[in-house]
Amino acid sequence: MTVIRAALDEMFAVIGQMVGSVFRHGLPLTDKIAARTALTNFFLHIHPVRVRRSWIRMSYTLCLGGLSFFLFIVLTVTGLFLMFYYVPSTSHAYQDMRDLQFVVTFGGVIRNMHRWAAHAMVITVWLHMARVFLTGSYKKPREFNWGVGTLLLLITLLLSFTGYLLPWDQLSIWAVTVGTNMAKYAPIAGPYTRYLLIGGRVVGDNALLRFYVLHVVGLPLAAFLLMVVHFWRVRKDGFSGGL
Amino acid sequence: MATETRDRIAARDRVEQRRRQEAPSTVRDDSEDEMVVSFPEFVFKEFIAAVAMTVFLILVSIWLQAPLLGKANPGMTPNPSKAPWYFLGLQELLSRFPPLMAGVAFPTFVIVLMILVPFLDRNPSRRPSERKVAIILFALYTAIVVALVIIGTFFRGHEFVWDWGWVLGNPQTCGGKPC
Amino acid sequence: MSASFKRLMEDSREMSRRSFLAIAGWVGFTAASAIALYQSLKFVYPNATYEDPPAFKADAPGTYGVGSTTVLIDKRVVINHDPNGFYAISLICTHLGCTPRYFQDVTSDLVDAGTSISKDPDTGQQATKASPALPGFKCPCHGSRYFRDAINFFGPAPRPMDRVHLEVAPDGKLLIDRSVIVDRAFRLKV
Repeated sequence: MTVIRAALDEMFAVIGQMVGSVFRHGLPLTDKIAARTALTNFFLHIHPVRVRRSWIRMSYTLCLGGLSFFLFIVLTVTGLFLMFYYVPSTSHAYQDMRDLQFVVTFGGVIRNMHRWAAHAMVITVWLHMARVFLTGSYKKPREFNWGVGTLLLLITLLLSFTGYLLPWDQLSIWAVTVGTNMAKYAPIAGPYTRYLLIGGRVVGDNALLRFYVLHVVGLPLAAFLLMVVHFWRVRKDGFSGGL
Repeated sequence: MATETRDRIAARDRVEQRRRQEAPSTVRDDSEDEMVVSFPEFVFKEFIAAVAMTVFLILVSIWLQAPLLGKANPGMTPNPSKAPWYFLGLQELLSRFPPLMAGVAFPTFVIVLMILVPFLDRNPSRRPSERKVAIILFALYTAIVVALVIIGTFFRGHEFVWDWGWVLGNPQTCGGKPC
Repeated sequence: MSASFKRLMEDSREMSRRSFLAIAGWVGFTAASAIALYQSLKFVYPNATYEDPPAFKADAPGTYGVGSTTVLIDKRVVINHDPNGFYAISLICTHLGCTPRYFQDVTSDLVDAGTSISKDPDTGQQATKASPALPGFKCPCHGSRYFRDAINFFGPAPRPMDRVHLEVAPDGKLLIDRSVIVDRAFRLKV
């Protein structure tokens, strides 16, 4: 009997140690415990430990920056799902889209989510920028971070544009034909830029592969790096809050 | 947790405790200026926003199909052929001005101008009442962009010609006949 | 005095040698980086593409009647047979690369709206109130319009569509080479 009790005690101790190793400070019932958690947790440490109430007022930030980042995560996850069923070649791409819509369980919903989240991200990034402008938050010392934000808006648009070609439907090919022909008008480097961008003279297999690589690796990586800098700068320059 | 961190927190907690003991009547002032812990107060707000956005996206995605036209065909340009809405302002400019200006020079200028905004705006104030010029210029810019997008979305019909008939998206027929 | 001066000279010579090496090092590093960047660009610039070859064969010249306009849509080429010979048009809008479509009448709505339409410089044809309809091409993307002989007259298109080379192949069929752009006066007489 005592042996069993001792074994049970040992087991609970081990389980307790396991739980304690992950949740080191228990529930954030007091400010002190919460602060410790925020200070030591990698993911929570993206925030300062303490903030003024005015900084996080919903009517001030509207959570637009946070929502833009969240939509980026949604797009990463849904995009990953779509990649399981998508081959970037002119002979497969369109059929894969039809399959996603009609054959794959919830394929249509995932594709729709990816599409609408991309539209939503353009809106939230744009509104975030409008909010920052209207509150004058780009002023010293945040000039640099405003510039980083502008580049992030640009990358958001480029991600949308590269993603637009991937379904390989009539909407895709003509939007990209027109878009890349615009590059052709740039002085001197124009025609070379277009050839480089679409890997040929017409929007075909090479263009599809190039846009795919940029869409799923190149541009998200650039966006991620700029976001890391953007958030770091928010921490270092301080929240702009409170006019 | 590193020992120093723990020690630091313990020390800070001791100071806090002493402060509380010295002024036991201190209560939260609940003003805008009050310092609050970001976790869970702030994190919870973000969590709610994220959940709301997810629910919204799922509902929209169930009801609203993403467009998918016929397979890409280099020989047949749909009529009208429209870019995604956020590029329709650019497409509108392209139909009016030479491409070097509308497609290359103008967007580059806008991006550079946006990056330079903090250096061009010499007014140190952040109060809206003291920044009338900046806000009016911004409102004007937004109004132009929104107007161009609305024109491109609703008032451009076949061959991208002006049309009052709210031509949405890419109609697949020309006067009842497939084109 | 002289000893310390000598040492100073040696020191400064030593310093200048060091700074020279540092400058040379940075110049070398910058040059190497520039070359690496250039090579990376060369890597992504395709040497060969497996696109549809630019030259292809159409039907024998006799198939195309005098005065006819034939759109070979999957090749994006138009064959016009005029009384003075054949010529081929690359059916790519010179504005932003969409594919214009052929219509029997691309002018009468403009005439109705009162827009003045320039005279076709090659054929001399002009759309008037009396005979408003002229055949031609309309681009769906930004509304550029061309006469039947590919000369632009309306919309943002900056120049006429390209004319491409065509000849009669040994087997008697028309051989069209889309990579060879020819003069507007070019005609193939059969």
